Amino acid sequence: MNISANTTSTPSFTGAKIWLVSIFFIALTGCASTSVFTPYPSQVQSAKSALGNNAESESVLKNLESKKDTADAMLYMMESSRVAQLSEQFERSKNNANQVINAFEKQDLQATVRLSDVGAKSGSLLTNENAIPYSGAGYERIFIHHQQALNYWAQNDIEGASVEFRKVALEQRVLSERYEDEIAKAHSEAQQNNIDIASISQEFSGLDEIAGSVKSSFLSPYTYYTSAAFWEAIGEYNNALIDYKLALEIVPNSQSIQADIRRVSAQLGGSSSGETNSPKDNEGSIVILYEQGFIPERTEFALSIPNFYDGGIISVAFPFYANTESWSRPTLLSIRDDQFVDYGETFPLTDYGTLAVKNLKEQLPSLIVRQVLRGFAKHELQKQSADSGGALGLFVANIYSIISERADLRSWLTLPRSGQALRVNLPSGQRTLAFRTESKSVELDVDIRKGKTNFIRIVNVNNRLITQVLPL
Amino acid sequence: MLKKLNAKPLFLATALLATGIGISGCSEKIAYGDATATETTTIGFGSTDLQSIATKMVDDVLASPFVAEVSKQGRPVAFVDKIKNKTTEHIDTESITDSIQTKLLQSGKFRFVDMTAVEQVKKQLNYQQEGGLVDPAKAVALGKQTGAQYMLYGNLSSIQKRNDDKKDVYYKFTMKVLNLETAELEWASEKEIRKTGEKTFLAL
Repeated sequence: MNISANTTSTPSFTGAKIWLVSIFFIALTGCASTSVFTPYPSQVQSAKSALGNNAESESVLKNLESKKDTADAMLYMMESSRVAQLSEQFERSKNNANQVINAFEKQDLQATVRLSDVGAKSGSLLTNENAIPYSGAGYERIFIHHQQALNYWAQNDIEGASVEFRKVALEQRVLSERYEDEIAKAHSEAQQNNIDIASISQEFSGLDEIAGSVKSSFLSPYTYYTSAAFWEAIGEYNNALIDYKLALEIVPNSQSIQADIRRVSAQLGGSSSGETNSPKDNEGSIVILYEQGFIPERTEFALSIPNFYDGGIISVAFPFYANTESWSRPTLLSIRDDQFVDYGETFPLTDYGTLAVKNLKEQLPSLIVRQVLRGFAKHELQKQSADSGGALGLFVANIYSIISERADLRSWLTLPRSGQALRVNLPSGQRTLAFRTESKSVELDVDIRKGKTNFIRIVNVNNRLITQVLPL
Repeated sequence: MLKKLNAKPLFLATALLATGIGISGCSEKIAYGDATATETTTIGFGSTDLQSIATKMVDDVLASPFVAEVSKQGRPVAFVDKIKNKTTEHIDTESITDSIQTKLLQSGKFRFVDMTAVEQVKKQLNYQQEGGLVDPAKAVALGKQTGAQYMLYGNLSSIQKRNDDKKDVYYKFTMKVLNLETAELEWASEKEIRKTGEKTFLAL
């Protein structure tokens, strides 16, 4: 305030200056979050292009980790955890993911109204939605545990991986309980022409297809499948059966998961008819976990409405997902051995785009309320600027109103577009396998051990195929 | 100059400034505490849970007819197998068994062989026998170790539930003693712990 006190300019200009100073100040208090004036997707572009490029990833990681004490720390730590994991820095990825997990756990019992939040919320009233600290989404919480399980697994810590797979099961259960009402509604709407997969065969008892179709919008069958295959490989057939069933509930047409359920049921002593996809005596199994592409980014819908009454301009900006109908179908990965035998293609399990859209839909009501409040606050600011700063004051306030209005485009953007899997059986011995997409292929030497399961994770981003072998 | 200012924004700015100072004004405070005091920092597995499990297990085993019976023939030798962690938390179960083992040793009713030290012991004995540096007369003689008669093992499992305003976690620690000769279960006990956390409406 001293700056304006020392100036000798006209009162109206001083008024505008005072406004500038106070706007600057308010922006600063809100700017614990760095996304207030720079859209998040452009900030994270370098992290996305660094995936699979170990030379670039170090500087990207340092940059992301430097934001671990900001208001949006959760977001940056999610991104950095994935970047670190895909450049094989599992310990680093684990530490970064832990910060996110701790933040989620802290939220569970956080007071409904917190006075320390009020600062950010009122800051957001005069800037935009991005001034509110990022608090994560349900599907992001699922994937951070999924990712953490893979970190432990890659380090051969099977007990640690088990803990994370149990945690992710807990998180998926918490989410399905939250949406119980929605599932009940779907049931009552779909009572006629109900195809009941549970009636096809006794192995599928307890499955609920209608619930499954609702669940696909907030749960991740890719995660269920990964943990089911993990449990099966370490001999925990009960857990495996449950997770295979939960995956099938969401992807009911998968022949592969149906075979998995028959195979594990047989292990548990049940009789089984039909395909079980079991390895023969001289064979071993390979489970391929395939993550393709990037999750869609939010885009901004902005609108400036002139207010003819007092010459002000009211801006509104909303996030949305563009062209959801024309999103390309996920591309698959095929596998072939050195004898040119084809072993088929991966099957899509989780569509991360669907999860993101559902999450945004959930946020919209409160987003709209805050947008209206912000409209009022900024309009009030324009009126006062015009009163104390004249035309210049109004001009500054109008410009401010337009440039400050930014939609909340924040979400975990290094997540894949699609999560897929494939289980095949091959004769034992050392083999070279080729994994191919439409445009790219990668070869990997694998030692197939009799009766054992090899886990190969392949991530397809930036036209690169990143491969990781998970030890067991 | 200040009189020309509109009262509202000045008030707003001052309020925000005050909040800012209020938040940044916290400083660290470090103090020693009682290691056995009840700890409720978070709902997760903590020191109080560890201590109550160890105490209950030791009290149970020492008061059992099994111990009364075997201690008539001296102090039996036992070893502690790993406690399986079946919870949704990364818990160091070795530290639970360490507490139990220490208390049982101190009771004077049991002797233990430490399976976690086997590798290092082997290394040391090999060095003494084969290194040529140790006087053979003073080297520890081989083949004189005592074999364990009993195995202590068990698992820690949990059930967690959570909705939008409540969290409930239930732990169950089960411990068993197996007679290695007869493969009979000689003793078993369990300790249950339940913790709940609820959201408050208002907080800083």
